[in-house]
Amino acid sequence: MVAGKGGVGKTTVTAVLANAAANLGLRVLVVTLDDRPGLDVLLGGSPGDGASYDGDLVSVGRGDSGTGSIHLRTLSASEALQDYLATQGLARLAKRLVSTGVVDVVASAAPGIDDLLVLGKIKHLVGLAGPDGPHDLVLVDGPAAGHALSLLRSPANIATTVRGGPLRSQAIEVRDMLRDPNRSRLILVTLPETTPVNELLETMSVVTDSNGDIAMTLGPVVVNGVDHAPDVEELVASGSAPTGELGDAARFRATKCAVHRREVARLDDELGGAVLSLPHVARAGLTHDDVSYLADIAGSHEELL
Amino acid sequence: MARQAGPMRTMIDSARVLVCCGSGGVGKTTTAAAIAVEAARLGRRVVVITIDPAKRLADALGMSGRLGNEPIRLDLPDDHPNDHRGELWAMMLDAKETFDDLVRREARHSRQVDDILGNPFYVNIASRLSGSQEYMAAEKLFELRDDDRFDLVVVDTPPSREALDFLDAPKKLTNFLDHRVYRWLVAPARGGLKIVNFAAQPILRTIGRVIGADVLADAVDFFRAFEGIEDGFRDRARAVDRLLRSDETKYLVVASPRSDTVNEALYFTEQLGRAGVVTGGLVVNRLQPMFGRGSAKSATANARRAEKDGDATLALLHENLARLRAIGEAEEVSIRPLLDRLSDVPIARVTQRADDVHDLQAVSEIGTSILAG
Repeated sequence: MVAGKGGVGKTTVTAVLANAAANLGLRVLVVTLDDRPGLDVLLGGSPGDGASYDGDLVSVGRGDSGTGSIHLRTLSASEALQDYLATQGLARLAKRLVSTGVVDVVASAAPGIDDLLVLGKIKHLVGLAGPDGPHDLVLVDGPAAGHALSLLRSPANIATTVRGGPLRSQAIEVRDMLRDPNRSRLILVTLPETTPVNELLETMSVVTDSNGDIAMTLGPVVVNGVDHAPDVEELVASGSAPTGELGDAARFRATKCAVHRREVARLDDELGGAVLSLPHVARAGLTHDDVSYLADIAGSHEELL
Repeated sequence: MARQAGPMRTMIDSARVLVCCGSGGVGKTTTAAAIAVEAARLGRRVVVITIDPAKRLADALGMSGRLGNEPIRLDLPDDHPNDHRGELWAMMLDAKETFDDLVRREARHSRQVDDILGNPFYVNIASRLSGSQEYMAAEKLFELRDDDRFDLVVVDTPPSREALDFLDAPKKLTNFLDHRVYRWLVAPARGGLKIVNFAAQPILRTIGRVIGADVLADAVDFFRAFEGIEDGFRDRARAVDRLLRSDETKYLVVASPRSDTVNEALYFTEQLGRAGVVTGGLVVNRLQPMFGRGSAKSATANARRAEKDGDATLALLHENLARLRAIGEAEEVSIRPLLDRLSDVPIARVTQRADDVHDLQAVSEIGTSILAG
């Protein structure tokens, strides 16, 4: 699961990792919990192909093995709930339970129930085979950080509030899946600036606490948008940047690069090196070419993946 | 410096309540704080309601470790001798505590307070029901609007993709508390029975089997304890709703120059419009500064020329300028749809600093540049 605060480029990173994994020959299923128009294109699908986000094949890996592929699927809380009610023999009542507000009351009586059902559905997808064979990797473009925590806490919460029955067993199975480092990893995404890095370190200590509600193992931490221009920094340091717009631009860039280097180093120190830096791409709306370029960089750090 | 107030300043001057809304990660909390600082310097008595401020911002404002659910007074930066010197207050919303206060105020006797506050189902609703945080932000805003100490309430809203989460929160909560289900669950108690008969309700029996009968029993107890104060809650929610939609409440949309956050800001604007609320202004945060008036293309041409002339340093400088301008130009393309949509409201553009410094001075400069618009 990929998680990070709003604006850090979580969806881009999901696309980059999916492409990198497909290039390594893995069959990847990308699951998005929000409608993310354009995600299919970032993953390598052609615009206008009209991927239904329903488990469709969007692209194939570029690796030598020829086995890599990316499938894409949206998963919503209401879909997960309807499915769950159906498995409990309540399919015919489902609509009425929602419209009368019974579901609201139940959701408040056992908060996190909707989150748990989404995770349960993901667990179901992990076991499921795609059209071209079983998925090797299910990559979830998670919700923004605040909600990601409540999502990941939901199994432990439900296992405590609900003292018996099918929901409790579901909660325990999902919790065990998330806590097993061989099955699940959490990939945190951040930007190379002070506040995002501080927040990432706080989130990290919460999610990895083995006595906590979540107790997951981290995958690599991804720092997105890292700028690196040693030649410009050197030029500024040597005092050869003139006054005026040329010099202002050089000084701005050099200062920024220094901040980025400092923040990446701080994370590296805290994490003992498990940091994947993705360079800043000077474009507002990323294209699949940009994603491919970043995926090659990610792929060159195979040890982290 | 007696300059005429610009449209942003005029808009904020006319507001009693200023709601900052936008998706997560666009700098909403900083924007709310920056406006509060500047408005206080211009003579207003301001209180800012923050939601989970980053530690650095809390440090910058001198509120680390001091903020709770009650406003505290903060020091203003004091390097402006011409300031009119209003007051700056801040608080950090605690949704659960705000809800508790509301129950205490509306309850008819202390036993009712104890019954409600001690109920596990209530604790879930107050801290985790979707919309509770939004409603409590609105409730707090309403409370502070009537507090004589303040003449401007600035609110940072919980991160959300839905502007309506905030605007609809009062209605949503009262609907929940007032729901048919609730009457249906409580009905047997009205008939004089002490215990709800789950067996008599097949759906309840099924639900009880799935989530546990005791959990459901807590819910029934809660609704029963709540009986008699729904009217008070409903009246209060109506008053809050009126304030959220009144002319003295202005909505400021906050965005950053990325195509995804711009799309979310457009969506927010549309939702506000649909709810019959006018967007009062737009703040675009974190823009990269523009270096000169030239284009990325001209800088690239200059780099090529310098290369041909064998001046590697000059080529590098132009190359760098071209890159930064390309980012600036891409940002302009990203925010264009938002600027076009909101062309009739005041717009403030806030440029990012390269050094990532975030002290009171930096926050105050952001406020100054917003209100200068």
